[in-house]
Amino acid sequence: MTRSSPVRVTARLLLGLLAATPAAAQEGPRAGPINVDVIVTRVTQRSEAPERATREVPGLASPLDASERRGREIDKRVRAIDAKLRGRMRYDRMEFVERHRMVLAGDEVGTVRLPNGHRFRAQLLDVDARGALLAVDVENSVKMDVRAPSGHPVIIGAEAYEDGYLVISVEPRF
Amino acid sequence: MSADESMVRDQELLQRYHDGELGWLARRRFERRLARSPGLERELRALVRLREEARRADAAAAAPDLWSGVAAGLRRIDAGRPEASADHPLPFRALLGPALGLGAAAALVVAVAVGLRDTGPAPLPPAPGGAVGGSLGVVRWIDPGPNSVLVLEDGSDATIIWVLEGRQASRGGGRDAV
Repeated sequence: MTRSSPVRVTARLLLGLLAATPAAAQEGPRAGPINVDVIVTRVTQRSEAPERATREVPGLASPLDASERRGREIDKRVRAIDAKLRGRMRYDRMEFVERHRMVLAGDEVGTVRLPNGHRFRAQLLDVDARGALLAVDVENSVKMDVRAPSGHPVIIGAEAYEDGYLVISVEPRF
Repeated sequence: MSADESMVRDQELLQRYHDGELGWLARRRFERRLARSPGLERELRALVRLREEARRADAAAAAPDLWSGVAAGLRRIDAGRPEASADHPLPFRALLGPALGLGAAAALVVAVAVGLRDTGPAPLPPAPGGAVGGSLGVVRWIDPGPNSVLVLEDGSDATIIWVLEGRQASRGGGRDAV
């Protein structure tokens, strides 16, 4: 009776795993669930632009209640977005419109109806040490794949909205 | 030393030899043993093969270098585009801040998508200066449709994607998957 050495057995196991990798990859991504924080703001160039009421939207994402919108965290987030844009984009005012928290598992699509009626969708494709790979679609505007580390906001200025423009911050957190 | 202990020691030596961790004398000694032991030599070949398989798998998973294709695409666009941007002011461009003109070139990746309607989505080049998220940056692929888009990805703690031109005509909804 022959006896395989542990090295040989280990090597075979590893080779088997390597050989199985492409098949596993074809089965689709296995990721998440992760939190994706979507904050919608509006920038305007005229400081006298009227404030607009926020609205709740259907979909997988759940808007926060009005009291929380006024909370410190929102202020902090909006200020952070403003700080990243200020000096790079010319605008007078940034105001908070709405916030959505998505919890996305692998391949799951989160949908938000933007105030201008267009859909914003994010799909989690993969998560690894480099970040979360998200397919992002701003309806009628731009589509992209982004791989963002946790806490790294992707700020999208894409949509005209009333007398200003919507700015959408997408921030994976995991 | 029992047979099992000897085998464990051989395996350890084999691994260290394979990884180049043996000193000169130990290496020579082990090479002499390898020459006398077909079994050890087979195991060494298996280890070498395993490493090559792993290397090939890594190479296959590496992100492609997209820049050469993008550069060629941009040159094509520049060559075919008339000096018409002044005739068609883009409303969103009014929001571009002064930083764009202040030596931000090193930190700025500009994807000019005007005229890309027929050429399809434009992949982005790697962000200069080391972008967050790896050599390809945060934005891995982008399809701005008929719009122009700026991507600011300068290794800071945010990535900014700015669509410069509002959609003139509506089109179908987005996609669920890429």
